[in-house]
Amino acid sequence: MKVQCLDRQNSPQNCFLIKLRQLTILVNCPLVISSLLPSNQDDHDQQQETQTQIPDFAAVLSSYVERQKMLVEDPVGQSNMPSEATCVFSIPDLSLVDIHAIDCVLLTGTKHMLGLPFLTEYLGYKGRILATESSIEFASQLMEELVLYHGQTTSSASRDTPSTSMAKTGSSASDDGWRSIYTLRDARSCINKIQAVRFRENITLFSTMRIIPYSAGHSLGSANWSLEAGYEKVAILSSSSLSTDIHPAPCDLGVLTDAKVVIFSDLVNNGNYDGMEQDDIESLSASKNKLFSYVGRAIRSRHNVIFPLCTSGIVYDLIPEIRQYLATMGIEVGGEDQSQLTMYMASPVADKSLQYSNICGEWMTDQHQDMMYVPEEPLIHGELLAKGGLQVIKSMDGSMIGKQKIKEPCIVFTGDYRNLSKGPVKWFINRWKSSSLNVCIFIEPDTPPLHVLAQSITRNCEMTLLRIPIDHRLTLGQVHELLERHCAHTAAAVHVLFPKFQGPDQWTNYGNMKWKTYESGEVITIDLQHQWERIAVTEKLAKSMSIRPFPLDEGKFYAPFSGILSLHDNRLELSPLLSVRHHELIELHKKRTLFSEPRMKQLVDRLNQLGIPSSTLDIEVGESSVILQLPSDMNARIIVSHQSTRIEASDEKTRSFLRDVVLHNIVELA
Amino acid sequence: MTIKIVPLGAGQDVGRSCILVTLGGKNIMFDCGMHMGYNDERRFPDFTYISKTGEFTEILDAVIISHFHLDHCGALPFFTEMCGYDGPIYMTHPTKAICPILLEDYRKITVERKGETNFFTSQMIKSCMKKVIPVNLHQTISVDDDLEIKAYYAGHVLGAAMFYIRVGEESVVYTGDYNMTPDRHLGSAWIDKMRPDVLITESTYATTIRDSKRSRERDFLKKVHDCVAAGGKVIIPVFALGRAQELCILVETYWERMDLKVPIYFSAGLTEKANHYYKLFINWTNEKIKSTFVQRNMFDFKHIKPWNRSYVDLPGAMVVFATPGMLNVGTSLEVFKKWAPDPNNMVIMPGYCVAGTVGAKVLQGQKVIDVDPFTKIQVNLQVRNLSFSAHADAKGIMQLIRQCEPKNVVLVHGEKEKMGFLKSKIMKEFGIPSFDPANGETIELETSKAIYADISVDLLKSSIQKMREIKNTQSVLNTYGPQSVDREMHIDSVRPHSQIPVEGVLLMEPDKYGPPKMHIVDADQVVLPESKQPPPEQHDLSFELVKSINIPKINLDLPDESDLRNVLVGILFRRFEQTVGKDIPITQTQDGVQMRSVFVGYDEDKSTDVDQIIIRWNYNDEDLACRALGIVNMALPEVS
Repeated sequence: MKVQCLDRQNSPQNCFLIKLRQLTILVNCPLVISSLLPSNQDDHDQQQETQTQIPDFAAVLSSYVERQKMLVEDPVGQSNMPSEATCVFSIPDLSLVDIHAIDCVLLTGTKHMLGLPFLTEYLGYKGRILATESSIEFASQLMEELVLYHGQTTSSASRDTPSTSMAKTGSSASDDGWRSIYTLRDARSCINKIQAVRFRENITLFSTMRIIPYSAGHSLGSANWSLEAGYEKVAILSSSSLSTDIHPAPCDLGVLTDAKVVIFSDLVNNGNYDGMEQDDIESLSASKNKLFSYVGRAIRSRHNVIFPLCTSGIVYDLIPEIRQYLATMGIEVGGEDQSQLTMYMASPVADKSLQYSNICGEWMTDQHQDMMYVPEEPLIHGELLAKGGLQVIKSMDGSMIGKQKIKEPCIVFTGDYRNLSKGPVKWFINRWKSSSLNVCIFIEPDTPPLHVLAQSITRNCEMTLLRIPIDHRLTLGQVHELLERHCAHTAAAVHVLFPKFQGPDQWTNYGNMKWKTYESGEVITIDLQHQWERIAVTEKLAKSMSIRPFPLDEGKFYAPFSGILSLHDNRLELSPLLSVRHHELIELHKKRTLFSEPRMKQLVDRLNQLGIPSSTLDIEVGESSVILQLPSDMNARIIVSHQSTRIEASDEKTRSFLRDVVLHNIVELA
Repeated sequence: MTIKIVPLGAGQDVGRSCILVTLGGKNIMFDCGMHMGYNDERRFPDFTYISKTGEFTEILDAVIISHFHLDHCGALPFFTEMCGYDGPIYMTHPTKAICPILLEDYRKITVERKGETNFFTSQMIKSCMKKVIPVNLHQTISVDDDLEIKAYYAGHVLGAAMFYIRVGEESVVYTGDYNMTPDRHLGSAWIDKMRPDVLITESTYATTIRDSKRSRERDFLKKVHDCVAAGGKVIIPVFALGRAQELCILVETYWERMDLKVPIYFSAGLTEKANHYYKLFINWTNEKIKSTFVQRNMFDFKHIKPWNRSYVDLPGAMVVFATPGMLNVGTSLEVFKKWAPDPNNMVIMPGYCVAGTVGAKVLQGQKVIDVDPFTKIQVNLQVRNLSFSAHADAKGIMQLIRQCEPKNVVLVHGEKEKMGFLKSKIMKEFGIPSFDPANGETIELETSKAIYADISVDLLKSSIQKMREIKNTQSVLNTYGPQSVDREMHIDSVRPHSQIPVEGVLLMEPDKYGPPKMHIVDADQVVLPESKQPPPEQHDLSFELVKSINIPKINLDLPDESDLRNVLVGILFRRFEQTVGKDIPITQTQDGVQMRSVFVGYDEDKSTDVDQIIIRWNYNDEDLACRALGIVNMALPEVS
């Protein structure tokens, strides 16, 4: 089999092309998002820093500066914003992949499928796409959100297909694949092409390969996949979590059972920005405590908190946790009382996300499932929504926000966290920028570093910006532990692939495992030593076989046979020989094998039994062989040496007589 | 191997569904229901059939419940808590959620109203439900190493599922109750082309073919509207869950569209809770409800209000949905008793009522009905029969059979006469055997006896390689031109190989814990890679035969002996080419002919006479050599 990571250099490694048994599987189609800042920004140094990741940025930039003039600005806070950053998008490098040769696309989670519309609508992929039911729904929401935030740039007069607009930016830029976002229509049409599956559903591809999604435990519907063909099994692990205190169904480690190849991706710190800040290393509980204390401090001083984070996923755990923490401080969320705190979720898809998550009880832990049997909504935000403790702000449009009074202090969850100059984040930062007691906390692990974010914020912002990543993904330590527990003691060798920098560069043995890291673009070939195939032996053939004890190994039995192998739908079947022609072929091609050597004494004994007395025999002992000369009327001899025996005769009758004498005491399996 | 099927309930009957299936040494019970027509011990299946001593856990490998209707799950707490079954029980999430509520309801009616003792308690229901393992649609669950379960959407009620089970290569599909036409709140049943050995299907509507859903709906609404317009009261007996929600959606949208003000009530406190379940399990309803639920949840009813007992005497038109559906007890019977004498009123009966219930008597058109020894009801109101029940009709059943392509069909959950009709129809249309066992009657079905083995990839490759060499007719073509190869053979050479002769050895290794392990290998590869032993040494046996021949009279001047040798070798070569040439590569050397290890000709040093032909071969090619000997004998007869 072959594995290739298709992500571009310096992008997170989540996209793989796997070739197994002549089938080509594409795993994931992520979207890399990068903000572009207008070049007239004066803090040029910082900008350079972000640009080092993307060579030839300036070329892309210039066209965006021009287009930026045509942007339809948000009516709110327009004057306060000195500049607005634009985002550009790219998907993995598929330029060397024949799209039509891909047999199936597997998606591991909501966040890794956002680039899919480019594949299905622009590159023309028409094949099968598999993802879990709930990840499809959340992906559709995230796509919608992306388009609503970033789609306006293309809705101006200069609306082009991405490829042509990229062409204007110069060839070097289009090589890097940066483009503007797809349209809502593309996203919808793409979502409709995905086949929804559920955990542990067996999907068969061309009756050769069995594909099974397993719960990854990271977010609702996030899946790890196993590919099985015959006795070969490849496990693909991505964004998995062993945390027990989060809502998704726990990680199903069945994916690792009997796997011959294990591919890990999206571990903690994997593919993040290189400028990792020190506090990333802190433990999960420490970060959470830190986060709560900041929230507590802001709320107690009657100021506000903004969480720019993804509208689905971690937020479902964050809401009950914050609520519980505030309760210990004596602050209730929701309720009639005026003094009580309100939470807001501001995003065009907030309503969908909150409501949909609550009908996904089957994708959650057992405790959450039990809630459904009561019947109660499995996630607490359902109750908060009903009581008004959590409210949804659909749009930051002036007319909408006017109707809905925002009660301060409050906690706001907003959608996009990569770009602060768009959408609700911008609106709220503008509103609360005057006091450093207001806090904006970034908890998504893939948030860009603060100094990058800061560029897209209004100049005179006093607000405290914090980056406290809450990362539930697997750590390298956990990965090693998993391998030790599930793969180290299997009979067959296990090949394990790690993201770059997280393991050895070359194949290295660890017990029965072989470890290696993958680089983007590198094609890794693994020999799976495919030895056995499942086959059906028809009743008719089975009945005609006679089973004998196996002479070389006690307790076993054997039966020589000949039959016709038929191959239909990739299923093998053995049936009896029917046609004369096949009989003839088998006869002609028959190969006989002997497994032990004759002993001279046995030969003589056998000849004696058959009426040829020893006196008529003549034995010559040579250097490396013994020659048994038969009576002269037979005109034949048998030459026995260490590994071979030779019978020389002058007529067929004698020859076959001697053959039977020799074979009498030899083990033959035919 | 044999698959055995015994219905303990629902055999030529509707009610107390309980079907035992034995396949591949595993025993599985499908459904564990109660019978609505009986109040004595006949209401539950006869579990003593399984074991007289109560060793159910040892005998049964799994119990699978298809949906929450009591005739499919009503005996479950009795079986687990009072009979002592302690093994795994499988049902879908919504079934697990709703089933205990209906069981509790059933228990209350039986114990509190009818005053029965020796019945399961609320606690028993709870502890029974704790043993249930919830399953998701399409999720493949491995009960143990051999037994696999997979659920498919059945569309009969919320969470209803069909189950596919497989042990080794044998498989069974049990449909439970299903519906092949999507309705207002559920989708239609769907199954893969599983080609199971047996399909066990319900056959409630074995002989009915219903007209389109839409016209039935229109008909229903017109009846209700006409009745309330004339000031009559309409009672619609329903189950609290399932059909009720569909009818509510239907009436609700109609009321909204027509702007009607006539009150609609729903009896039973269950409604609110029931609707909440529908909201939580919206993923199990149909696409339309799913896609719009964020904006408008179909299960938030505006016109339908909870029923109060005192409303029964209120004047004026009204519509009441009341439980239970068969008018056997409870609110529906109470309301029916009050309203039955007035011909202005109307009762809309569900499609099916179990024999013996008041509902069944109403359906039969009885004018005076004995509810119990002391009460008689005059039935004057209009009786309308609404075949709305979400069962597949004859067309639907045939459609499902076509969809999953079973090798046998077993009919349950229906009436005997109707089953007979359907049986002949299935035979005629699909040509597959079908059965309708009575309760306690065993059906035994033979399945394929093929055995399964692992074949070594090396053997596969070498067999295919041999086939390629054979089919490669190019050399023959080059030598003799296109006429030499017949058409069939020519086509054969380009056709993909679908029939490949294989020769090998089947090795069988008995396994203490399971079926023996089977491996198919090449005869010279008999040692499996797993075994630690070094491969046994092979012994080389070869033969040399010196044959005296008659030199044929050849019309040639033969000045030289070596020329004669060449001519003889040439004759042999042509003979071999003609006979085995298309299957085996043959080369002609200076002194003879070589085919694999078989050599026919003269020694290099020409030490032997011209009439002494040497044949040499290895025992590997014994069979080829025998053939070669025969050919030599034909071509150059021996000295007699």
